[in-house]
Amino acid sequence: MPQSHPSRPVFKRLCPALLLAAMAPAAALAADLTLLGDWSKALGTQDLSGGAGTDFPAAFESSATQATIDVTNTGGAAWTLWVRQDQAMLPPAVGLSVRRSSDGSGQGSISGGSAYLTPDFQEQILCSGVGDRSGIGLQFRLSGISISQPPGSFGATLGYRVD
Amino acid sequence: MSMNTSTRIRISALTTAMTMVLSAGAMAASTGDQTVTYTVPEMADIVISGSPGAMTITAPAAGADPAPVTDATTSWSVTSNAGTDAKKLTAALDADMATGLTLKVTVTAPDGAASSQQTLTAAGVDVVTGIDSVSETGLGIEYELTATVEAAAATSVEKTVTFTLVDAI
Repeated sequence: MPQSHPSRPVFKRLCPALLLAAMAPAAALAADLTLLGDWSKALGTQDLSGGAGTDFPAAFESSATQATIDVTNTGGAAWTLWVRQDQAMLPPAVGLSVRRSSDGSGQGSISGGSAYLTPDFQEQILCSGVGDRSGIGLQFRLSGISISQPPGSFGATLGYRVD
Repeated sequence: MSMNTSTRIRISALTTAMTMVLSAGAMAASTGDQTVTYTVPEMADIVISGSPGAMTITAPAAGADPAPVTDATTSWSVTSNAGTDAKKLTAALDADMATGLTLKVTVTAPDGAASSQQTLTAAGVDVVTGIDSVSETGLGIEYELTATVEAAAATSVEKTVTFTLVDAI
């Protein structure tokens, strides 16, 4: 019977494998994001801050839960919700902001995003959480609309991502 | 079982596990979009603060025409987003003044616009021109009533002045 040294050859083969396993990324988050609701506002003379002779107010806000977001299929893991502005057709002085207006529901937790954030074309963190959350409220704000700007239709798209 | 076989089994199991970990390595993320839009129509809105008090012509001294009477107690306010020089303000009486009586008006123009004293008639007249996109309040309106000796005596006559913000063209 040939002599065998089980520990040494196995260790030599296992060592690189163990190193590779340690370097492999942790199990990935495959969360799902569900968005409900947009915001569309038709302005007119009834929206002037004080009738004829006045301009629009400094900002218009949507209802507190104009839109909602569900973050699901998290497997109980931590997640981050990112937001950016895409495809904007807004006068230069007009800003679009968004904030998290409610916690939603679920067994997990959520934090951040309760103050208005004005997204630009770079992603920013809106909020973060742990575990599944449903019905997270979103509120929007348009600021800087003025009668000095020409009439027309304007808007922007907000892109969200969870990881 | 030989030691070599046992070793091969252990390595195979570890390789399988490692492969499973590596194959799940790509970050899975979910995305979505929302749209926010608003519309603003062309707006041109004015408000007149009220009506002037009664303007009474007093009998003059012999050989003289009656003195004019003025009233500057009213004002107007305007909001327009129609653009540069896009609007003008017109004024018209509901009926021409009686013989010997003339009613004139001077309307203070908002920034960027122009105005001058105008005689009011039923046909209407431009009282402010070149109105840009603007929002201003409390712009003065001054009326001047003049009479000549040809004017018939009258106890009380009421006139309605209609101001209208219209396209400049």
